[in-house]
Amino acid sequence: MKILVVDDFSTMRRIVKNLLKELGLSNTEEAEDGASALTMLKGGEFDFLVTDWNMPGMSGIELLKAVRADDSLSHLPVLMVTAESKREQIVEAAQAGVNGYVVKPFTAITLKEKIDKIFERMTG
Amino acid sequence: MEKSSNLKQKDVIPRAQALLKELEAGNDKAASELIDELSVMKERELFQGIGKLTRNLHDTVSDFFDDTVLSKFSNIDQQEFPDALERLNYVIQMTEESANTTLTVVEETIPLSENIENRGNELRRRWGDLRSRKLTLDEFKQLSNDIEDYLDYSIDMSVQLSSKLNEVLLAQGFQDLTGQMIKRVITLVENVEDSLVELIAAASNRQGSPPDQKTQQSGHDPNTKGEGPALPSTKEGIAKGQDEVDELLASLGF
Repeated sequence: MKILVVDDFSTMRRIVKNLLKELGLSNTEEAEDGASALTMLKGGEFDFLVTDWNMPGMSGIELLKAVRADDSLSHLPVLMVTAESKREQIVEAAQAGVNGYVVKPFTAITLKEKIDKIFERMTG
Repeated sequence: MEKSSNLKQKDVIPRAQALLKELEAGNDKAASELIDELSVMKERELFQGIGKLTRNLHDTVSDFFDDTVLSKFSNIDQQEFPDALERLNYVIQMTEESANTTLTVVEETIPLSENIENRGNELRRRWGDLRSRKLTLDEFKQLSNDIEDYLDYSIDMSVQLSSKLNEVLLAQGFQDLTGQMIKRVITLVENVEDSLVELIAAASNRQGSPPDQKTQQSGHDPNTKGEGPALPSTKEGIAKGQDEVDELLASLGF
């Protein structure tokens, strides 16, 4: 399971990577904005995308839309981990085809629950 | 200016010469009249100067109202300033909470690792006695039991230590959230600074080139770029915590 973690704050990338490692998911790579993430996704055979929303350049929601619009990536599971908590934004992410939405600050348990749920759906 | 000062010299010099002549001749009355004339001229010039300054000021102010300079100020949402203060206070609050969480966890963790070390040292000493055949059979049985207990204990402690370290890990999330808050305040300060610079430029040179539109374009579109963490005081349209996010998503068929 290869996972791409996208956040403009390196501290948050480290936190998410460490939590994923706790869950037994240690094959992770990092990107600091949507544009570089998209390039990596296109060449990288990733199985899962964890992304922030608010980033300079290409934002997380733009990345999500680009992923869904790309034939080779459209089925990639995407979990948003973000401080954006406006209802209209959550609705927008849902409509864009997000698979899970975690608001910061979050707990390790919440992250685990959402990831488990996404995996259940993938296999089920 | 040159023209008016020439004019002034042309008017003033003959009167000054006449004044000197009258004074030397002892004609006090004529001299006094000439002094009056000169002071009237001086006053008229002063009033004209003030009038010119007033008109300049008036025109400058009117220009501000028509100009993009002022509209740029009004582009800065009035709510941005109280928001910025709340944001900075929130940053203090979050960093304080995070520091306290981390310190508490560290304070709880140190005794755990000290206990593991102390019990390990004690067992190590007794194990040495066993290897040097200094233990009685009863002491050996006791040591075996204690070692077994210690193995369970160390497993339990490792689990506890991992969970404590995870708490410290998560407490570092403040850096991302406060960073986003501070970035927004920086953007506001930059916008105000740009507007002030343009205001000063416009005031010092009303004939200068029109201010560029850079600052207006720097404002981001909140819908795609994201807005960062919501302020604690924001109530409307904000999902408070993960439960409300889950509820909303569930209502959308998630």
